[in-house]
Amino acid sequence: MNKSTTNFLSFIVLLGAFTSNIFGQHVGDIGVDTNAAGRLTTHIVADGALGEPRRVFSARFGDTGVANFTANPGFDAFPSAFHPSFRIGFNMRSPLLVWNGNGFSQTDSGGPTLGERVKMSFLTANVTTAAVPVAGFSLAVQPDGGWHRHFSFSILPASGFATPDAGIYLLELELWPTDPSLSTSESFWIVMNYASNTIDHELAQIWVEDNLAANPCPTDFDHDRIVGGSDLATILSNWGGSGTGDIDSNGLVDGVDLATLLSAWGVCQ
Amino acid sequence: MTFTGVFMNRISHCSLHIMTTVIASFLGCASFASPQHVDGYIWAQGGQLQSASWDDTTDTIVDSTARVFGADFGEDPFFPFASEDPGFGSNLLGSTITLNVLAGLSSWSGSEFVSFANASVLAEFGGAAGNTTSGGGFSFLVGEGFDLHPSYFIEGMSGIDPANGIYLVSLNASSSSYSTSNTFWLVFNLGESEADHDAAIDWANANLVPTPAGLIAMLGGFPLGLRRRRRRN
Repeated sequence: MNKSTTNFLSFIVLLGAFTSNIFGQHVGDIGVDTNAAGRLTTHIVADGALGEPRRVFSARFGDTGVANFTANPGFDAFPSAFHPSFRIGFNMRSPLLVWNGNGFSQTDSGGPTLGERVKMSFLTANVTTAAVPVAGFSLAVQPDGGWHRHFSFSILPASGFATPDAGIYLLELELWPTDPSLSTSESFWIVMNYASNTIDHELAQIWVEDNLAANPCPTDFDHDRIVGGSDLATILSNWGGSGTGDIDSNGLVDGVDLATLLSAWGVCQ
Repeated sequence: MTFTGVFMNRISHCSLHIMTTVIASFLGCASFASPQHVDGYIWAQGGQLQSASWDDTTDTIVDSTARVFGADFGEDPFFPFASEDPGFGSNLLGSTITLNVLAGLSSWSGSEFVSFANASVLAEFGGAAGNTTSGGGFSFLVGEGFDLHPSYFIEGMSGIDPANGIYLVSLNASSSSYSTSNTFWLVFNLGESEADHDAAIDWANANLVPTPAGLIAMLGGFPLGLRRRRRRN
């Protein structure tokens, strides 16, 4: 076999190696699509395609070698999912919560803000979790109608501390479209491991699947397992708007949502 | 003689350049079939890091020898002087790779790239950065599903917005486990025409990339150094 033949076969082998190695590049990303009603939906991404709807995702700070940072999961809406003249944005729907072994609780207060917080940034834009929901920002749909984006996630220590506490943190997000024919997604969660163990990370994800994503109590906006005054306050503060409090997803927080909340008043069943 | 033997015997009569050109043509056709999301890719051959172009939507290598990558500042009008493309994938699981921005920014004159001192391009990831004024870079650990998107910013000097233009940034990739890659180049468009951007990319492929890739690009016009992604807006 002459050198040309050898080189050519090496090239073919190399292409084959690439194919096998890159097949799962997007696994773990958050797939983004719309359902029949035009609502944004989130999905597992498997083998380069959108899988079943999913609302719980995982991340590990330090996965690219920078301790308090990750750019994963990314977001993947595949080509033609959206019209390229529009944008997709996000909101942070809750304060950052931390795993306590039996559920999630607020991070310790370390000053005027809460304890640990997560900053999401993209180029020159950024927002940070706070004690109240935080409006995010939007990014353009790509010319091919896809929306493949990697935000930068940074975990910030509590005020007065040099480093965050090791732990499993919970970030609740929603996606919103600028396309008026589409509507805001349900909440979805990223369970983020900062210097904690894998077992707790997995237990926390299971807990979120069972207790939040399963949505046994859709009017319990603050996830304290009680439909109470704070949830009523959420409805009233968002009255006439959209997003949190819009239980029936009709694009408006209104009397129907209020009635639904009142009928579920008390401990979540 | 086995099928494999026949196959190898037949292709032994073909020159490597012809075969490479055929493959490049095939890949080139595929790449121009539709606006394609083309990112960079870092891999290794013979102990040295290599650059390639990668379609991260379809998870396929488009050109295993690509060394010129196009991108646009201001694709998203909310970020007129920034871009998160090109991104980079890699199959070197477990390796820590450093992307080094080489000092020196050039701009397109219409016929060639010339040194340009009135702006600087910065590439940042995870809080570390390098720029075309002083060099430097950032490191990243390649994990499963690796898909790195650095943030790229162009800044004018003395706080003045950078002028529209086509800018050439030189980089290489280094690692403790491999020898440093050859230089590869990012050709950023800030507000100029698609045609000018394409001409600048063609020039970079023909004049910066050594043969045989550069030779084939010149002779055949094949897009071995992948053209940039289409403008987003």
